[in-house]
Amino acid sequence: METLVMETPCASGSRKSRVGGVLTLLALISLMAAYAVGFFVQGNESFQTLQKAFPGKQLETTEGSSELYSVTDLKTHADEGHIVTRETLGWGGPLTTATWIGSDEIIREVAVLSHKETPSFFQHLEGNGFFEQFTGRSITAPLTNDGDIDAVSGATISSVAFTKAVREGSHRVAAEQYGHPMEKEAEAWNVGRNEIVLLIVFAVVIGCLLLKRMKARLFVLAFCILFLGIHMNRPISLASLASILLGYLPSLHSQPFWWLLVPGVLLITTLMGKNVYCYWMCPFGGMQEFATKIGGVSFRLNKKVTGAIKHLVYLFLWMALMIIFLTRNPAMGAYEPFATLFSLRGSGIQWTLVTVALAGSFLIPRFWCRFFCPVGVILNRLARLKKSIKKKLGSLSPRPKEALHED
Amino acid sequence: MKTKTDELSWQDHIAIALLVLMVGLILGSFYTAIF
Repeated sequence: METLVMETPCASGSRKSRVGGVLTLLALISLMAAYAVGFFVQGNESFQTLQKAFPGKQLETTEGSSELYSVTDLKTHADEGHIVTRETLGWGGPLTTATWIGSDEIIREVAVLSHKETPSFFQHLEGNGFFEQFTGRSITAPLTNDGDIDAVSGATISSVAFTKAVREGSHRVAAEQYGHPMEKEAEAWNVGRNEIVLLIVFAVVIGCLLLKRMKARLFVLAFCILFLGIHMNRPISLASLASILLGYLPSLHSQPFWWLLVPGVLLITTLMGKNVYCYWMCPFGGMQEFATKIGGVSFRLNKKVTGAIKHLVYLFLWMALMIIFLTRNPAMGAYEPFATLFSLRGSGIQWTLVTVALAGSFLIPRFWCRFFCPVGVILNRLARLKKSIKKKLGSLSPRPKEALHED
Repeated sequence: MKTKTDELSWQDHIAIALLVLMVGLILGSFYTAIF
């Protein structure tokens, strides 16, 4: 087979794109390797974690089940009931609880063996005594957030998920070990006005784009700051997209909002070939746009500066995905300041990041979006997909010569 | 020949300072997340 290599005047350009191609390939290979490593390493430490959570107790699996253990005191050898572990899906991914149930059918303690919730949200639960609420309750109690267990405001999804794990575990022990007739839980649809409002936002955005009513964009953005940002605290983040890659898909019944927002935005972006989310809906993008308007200054940067830094976001995206895949924890790598800003909870470094990102937006339009946002990069690529498919299809079918000049 | 467009303005210098600060903070947030 013969290969023709043509020397062109823009050899440096092709060399650059070749280097870019090699780097992209290396990044993809390393990400696949990290994904595989994370996948095979997970779960090996679960029993050790369980033993550490309950020191001084001897745990033995019951009837070959890896979720149910009988508990004996190491010193007195007294029977101390059961420990049941249960996994459910939280906001960030799977979480596992271990519920210690005494022989008197009363919950003694709830321990969290693993979770992938945003650390500040989890600390919020612990700080509000969420897990202590279960202690002393009967295993046949309803254990629901509508009834006897209070969800912590601002971390509702995590509260619901942890409660579900404890409830399912306790009710299983009640039915299997103590013969209580427990009704099987029917999963109810959790559809409310938030889902309807989101559908209306989608309809308005698509309608405005089709009718070319671009002046409405700032109004929609302002509304989304209030709705997706302040009210819901649910902007799309790298964690939302990475959880799809990790297979952490929440139940459609319990989290229809997630299903509407994340796959909905991905679908609309792909079908319309436009990044509708960043420019019309992103609350953090909206806050930056309004900051620029308030600032009244709009720096015009030298191309040398923007050119030097424009690829940096790919490096951050790669680093974040490597961390997420290796730890199989989307909250670990998501470096965006959205959650800190809208939940008003975060570490010192996260608050500094929010402050500098917003301060930068007073001077440079969409400062965060332009240089650092991993979600923007992914959605822009997705939006270009339609154009590149069209282009490829167009190049396959011959066009009349006159039409070529129209481009 | 050096033209005016090659030179960095005061706006560029502020932008560079902000960008460097942001890079440091993002790397710092990765560090705090892992360790």
